[in-house]
Amino acid sequence: MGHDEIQQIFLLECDEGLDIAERGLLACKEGTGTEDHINAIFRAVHSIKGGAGAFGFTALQSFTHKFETVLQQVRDGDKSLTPALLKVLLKAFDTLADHASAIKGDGDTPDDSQISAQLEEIAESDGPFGEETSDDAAVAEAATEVEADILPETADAADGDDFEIDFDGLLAALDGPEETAVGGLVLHLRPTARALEHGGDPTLLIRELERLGARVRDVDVSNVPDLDSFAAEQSYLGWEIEAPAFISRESIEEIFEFAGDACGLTIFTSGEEPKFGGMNAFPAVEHAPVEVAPKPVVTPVAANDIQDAPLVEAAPVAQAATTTATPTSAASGPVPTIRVDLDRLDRLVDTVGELVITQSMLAQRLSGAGVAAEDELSQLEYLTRELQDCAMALRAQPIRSVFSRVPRIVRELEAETGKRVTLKVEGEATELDKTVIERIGEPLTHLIRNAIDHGLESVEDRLAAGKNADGIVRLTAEQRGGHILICVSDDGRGIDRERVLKKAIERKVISADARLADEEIDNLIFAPGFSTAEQVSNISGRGVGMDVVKQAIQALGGRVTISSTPGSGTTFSLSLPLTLAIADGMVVHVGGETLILPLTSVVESLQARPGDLMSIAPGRNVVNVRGSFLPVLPLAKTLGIGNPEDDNSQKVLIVVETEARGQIVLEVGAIHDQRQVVIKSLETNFRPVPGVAGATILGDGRIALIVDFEALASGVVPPPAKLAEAA
Amino acid sequence: MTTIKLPASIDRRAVPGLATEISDALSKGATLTLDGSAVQQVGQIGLQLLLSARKSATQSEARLELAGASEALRASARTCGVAHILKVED
Repeated sequence: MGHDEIQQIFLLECDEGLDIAERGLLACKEGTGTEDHINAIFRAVHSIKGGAGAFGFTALQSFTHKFETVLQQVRDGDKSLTPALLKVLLKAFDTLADHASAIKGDGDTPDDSQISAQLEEIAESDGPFGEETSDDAAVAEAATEVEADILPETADAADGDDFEIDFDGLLAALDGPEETAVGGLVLHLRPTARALEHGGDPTLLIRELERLGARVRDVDVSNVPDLDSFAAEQSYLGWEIEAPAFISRESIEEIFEFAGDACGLTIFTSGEEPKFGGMNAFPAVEHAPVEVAPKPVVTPVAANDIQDAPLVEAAPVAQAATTTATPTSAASGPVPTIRVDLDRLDRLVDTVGELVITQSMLAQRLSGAGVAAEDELSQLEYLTRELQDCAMALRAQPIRSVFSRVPRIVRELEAETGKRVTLKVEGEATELDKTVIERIGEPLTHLIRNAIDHGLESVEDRLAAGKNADGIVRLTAEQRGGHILICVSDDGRGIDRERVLKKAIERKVISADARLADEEIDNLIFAPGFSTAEQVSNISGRGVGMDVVKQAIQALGGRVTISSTPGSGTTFSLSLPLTLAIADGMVVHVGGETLILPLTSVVESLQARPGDLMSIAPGRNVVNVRGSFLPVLPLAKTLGIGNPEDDNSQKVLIVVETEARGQIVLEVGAIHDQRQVVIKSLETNFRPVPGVAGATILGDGRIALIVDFEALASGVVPPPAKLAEAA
Repeated sequence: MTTIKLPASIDRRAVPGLATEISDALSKGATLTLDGSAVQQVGQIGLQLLLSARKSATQSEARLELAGASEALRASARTCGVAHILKVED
């Protein structure tokens, strides 16, 4: 593994650490913080500091050091976690997050001089920072209990025969990243040659273990060759290291987290480790073949043999035996994971997509040839779907990475607006396709800003309305069928429909005599350029309105709906597809061609009766749908396919929701089917074609184009010749 | 008596040349002294070299001494549990 890859892992771990630290800080803010939270925050920051130092990110390292110092004082009970201190820690956290973003190339290195000075001042001062409350005392007490937990165990260990009180180690443990006292551990370390690549040096990790209080109990030098056979790039040593009870497995694993498997670490509970002599038979040279032998084939050579006696030849590695030592991540440990390049995943998803198509083609071909293979086909279909689900799940990521940005936004908005906000987040583990995760952040941020800026009332107004001074913004995610539902709701004043209507008329979004249902009025806020804020604030009125939110969601194949109750609040619900690679489509016949209409935008289908279509101008028809006159687009004519002159065929009308023109009606020949389709990009495989969102391959091998409603509604109608070419 | 002064950093770049130099000196059967006073940095690769040198010396019945080991060398050997083998114990 190269330096860049390891650094990439560090950056990912850094994000995870930030997430843990933020959750801990927020728990403290909400009054539910425990000593576990404080420890977790400390560990996360400590770990980031370690990685920052290893990769030479000096600004990040320097800042985390100051942050860590104060956190340590809180953890050790030297400082009470007062609201004032918590505020500083949250600010420090935000700065830390900015530092982390900067090293990822996302923004400049933040100016941390002010917050650094504040942290240093707090660290050097005696006594609490800010007013102490009873809760703070409880936290301080909890922190003290942590200390108390360590000390007796250490004292117990000191009662043992061969345990020396290692004050340095004890101090190091108190200073270290983990206090969860567990049984003593024994480590077997057998670095491979890989551990020595790129300047790697396992002895640095042993030094780190020593700093925690561990010590080398035995060293295996049996594989060290004489100078004639010596190769600088090989690893010949093995170590048995004992870690006293006050060093946790987690803190050990943390030390080795960037060394990967190259260090050949195996952790045992003390007393359960195999004889270290058995370890001499571990394969020392990475590329050597390994055979499992019932016993070591040579007697282990004691360390002293090198010192005092002529050495027997070191055990030939090819004959070495392996051990059946329990790996670090035993049954009780975390589920093992691997990191895979996204390109590989995408290739897998593409291949599975091809399989879905081939399976469909095969089914159609066999059916056409009169071959009875129903059982096999249904089994194949089942397996294909299973495989497809598995492949899609590989691209899925928890929405936590997006939700985790929200607390900071809320903090900033609280400071800017003077409003008080309690954020409640649910369903962070809900998984979404990676692409959706990457693109959902912006619209979600806007909705949160909107909820706080426009939705929630000021503290005074809330109190006057008999509400709690703290407004509640709720952010939830859950899977519902084939979709993910994300809701942003507030308990604010609700949408002022009268004002929205007035504004919409003023801005000529609707005509003055329009009669709209409540739901329709609410939806006006999605109209382009619509803003009801009396003064455009720099919070949500940034020149982009809710229309951008709606467009972004629709671009992801999703929909956004509003539900609002005056005085009680507003909820924005985003319904998003689980994946962008496969969509539900309505298969329709138009002018002899088969087209796919994305189901997410289809509202309803109607059977047109004679006289339903009314001509308002040559070539322009409207249809009366329960009192509303909607424009009708004859798909065949619009796209220039089939025989547009043939008006005698039976018409089916499909009502679809568009951003540009609201609901429009597409006129098609017939609805053939409704199925999942594998979306193939025309841009990648052909070229962009206006009016066409993509293509898919049908079971009979023909290509069907997926209609782009937005382009049609916006009047970006492709010249028929071009579309025919694409088809 | 031959003395080889160990470099400040016994790293991957220094080790191959040093291995040859020590091997040549041992093959002459003379008493070899490794002067470790200048060593500032030594990790697994360097310790392995010193252990290998000791093994070669034992095999060829030559005499090998590690003299004036710096604090950095002693600390690394101590941490890694090979101080007694390299005879650099305090």
